[in-house]
Parts: sequence; C-alpha cells; structure tokens
Amino acid sequence: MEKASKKDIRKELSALGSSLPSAGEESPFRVPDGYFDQLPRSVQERLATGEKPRTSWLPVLSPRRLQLGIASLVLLAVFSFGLFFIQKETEQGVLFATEEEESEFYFSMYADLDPFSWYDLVLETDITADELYFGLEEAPYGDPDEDVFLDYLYENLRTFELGAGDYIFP
Amino acid sequence: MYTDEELLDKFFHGDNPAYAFNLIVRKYQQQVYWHVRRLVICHEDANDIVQDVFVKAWKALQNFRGDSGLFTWLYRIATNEALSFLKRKRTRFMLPLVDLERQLSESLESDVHYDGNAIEKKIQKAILSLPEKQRVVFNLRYYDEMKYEDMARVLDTSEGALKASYHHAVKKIEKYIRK
Repeated sequence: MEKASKKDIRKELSALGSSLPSAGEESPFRVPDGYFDQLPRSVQERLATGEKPRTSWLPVLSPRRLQLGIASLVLLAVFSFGLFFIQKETEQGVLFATEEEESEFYFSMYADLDPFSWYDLVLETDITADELYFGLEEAPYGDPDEDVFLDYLYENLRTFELGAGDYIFP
Repeated sequence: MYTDEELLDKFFHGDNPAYAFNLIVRKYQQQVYWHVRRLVICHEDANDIVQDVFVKAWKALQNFRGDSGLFTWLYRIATNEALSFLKRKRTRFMLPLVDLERQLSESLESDVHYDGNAIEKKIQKAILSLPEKQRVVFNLRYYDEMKYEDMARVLDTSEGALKASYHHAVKKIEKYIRK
C-alpha cells in the first residue's frame, strides 16, 4: 500500500485550522523486547494447535475498580456479620416467610455489586458459588467459571424481576 | 522483501503454504499490530487480537480473490476484530461507551508499555473520546497515513464520508486538547 505523503496530511490539518503536530515516526506505545521476533512463531503455534491464548482481563481491573471491589467485600463482610447476629437473635432464623422471599432479599442486598466484585467474591474469598446461588434449583454447581457465573446471574436476576435499575450491573 | 503478488503466488502455488503464510505474517505483523494496539490500547489484548487476525487470515486466504490488496484485506480483518473485541468488552461488563473510554484511558495511564510524553498522552486521550469508527478513521489517516481510497476499501465506506469523519475527528480532538 502506498502511503499518503506527510505533506498532504500536514496540509489537510492546516486547512482544518488544526495545530496538531505531525505523528512522530516512533510510536509512544511499546512492546516487550523481542515481541515481533516471537509473534510469527506464536501464530504458527496457534495454527498448529488451534488453541487460543487466554484473554487477559486484568487491565480492566483498574485501581479504581479494585478499590470498589474491596469496598464491596468489606460491605459484604459487615452485612454477613450483622446477619449472623440477627439470625442468632431470632433463634430459629425465621426471617422470611418463603424461600422466594429470602432469595429476593439476598439478591437485592447484592444489587449494588459490580461484576468484578461478584467474581472476586467467588474466586478470592471463602464464599462459594453455591452459597451465592442460594440453593436455586438451576444453579450450575461446581467450580465457578467466570462466564458461566455471570451468565447465570444475568439470567436469574432477571427471573427475579428486580427491575432494570436494581440489577447488579450498573 | 517479497511483493504481495510473490507471497500470494508462493502461498497458492508453492510447495509450502505455511512457510509462505509465515512470510506474510512477518511482512505485515507490525502494521497490523500497531493499528490494533491504538484501538484497544492494552498490549495483551492487542497481542490476542493480532493472533486472531492472522489465524482468520490463514483460514480465509484460500478464498482470497485479490479484489483488494493483501494489506487492505488484513487491515479490514484487523479493524473488525478490534471493534468486535471492544464491543464484547462493553457488553460483557455492561459498560456504556463513556465507561469503556474511561477504562481505555486508565489502561493508557497504567500501561507499562506506553511512554508517550504529556502531549502524546493528551492526544491519545482525545482520540479515545471519539466514537469508535471515527477513531479508526483518524488513526488510519493520522498515524498510518493511509490514502482515503485505501481506507474506503478497508472500511467499505465512501471517500467523502471518510473525509467528513476525519475532519470531525480532528475538530473534536482540537477541542478536547484546548479544554
């Protein structure tokens, strides 16, 4: 492909009254050392094995989101602690008339958590997916997979018809 | 370096198509990578997408009819893959556009593989504030110095629409930088 000349691009920017500098020859983005030597081999391996490398979602966990996740965990711990005492006070633990009412209550309590917090709850705390699913019949028990878990939550929160604004996802 | 015609000839008529494809990857990997990287910002994401692009290219090359140049064709796959990735990321986490923009900006701030100066960083953030397709057009013109006629083939849009899109993008970036 033949490139447009820098002069043409400069002229076009000037015609638009733009003071943007010309793009430098060198990109401000960097790659790890030797990346482009390795990339063709990685592609060949992908073609040979058909395996897709795991996409890293780590960059999505920005410091702000991490803080939100931690804050959510603290809130959850406080909530669980409080719930423990309420249950003790009621002795028999009869807080809800029906199982459905109980489930609705829990889901509404978790309504403000974002997906990262849910994921963190499952993967980084002692709380298991089973405990979060609250015994719903369709729950995909076993080791929680992020996709399965999030899909499950989407489906079931909608089942409970908490209202769009009340869902865990903002 | 081989021309596209020579590479395609090796791929279709040579005795080792995998080797010919490897030469294609080597020839275009950097341009494809930088194009994708500017759209998704994060190196790890760009790396995944670029590999996907070449895997798809390998599968589809058998049916490549040469209506467009090899380079244009690869850019087209790369653009679609990068935009699909951003869309998936947005829907997966139910993010509105503005949150995705914020996320990408934050990635830029924390990216260990980015060392642009303050002006470059501001320009990048301004670019991230653009709608995705305008962002693609701006990057292709400003960074890749692509001619509008080639861009029209990559994005399947008229040259007039692309010029208008680029002009809007430049105006918005100027405004963002001045504020």
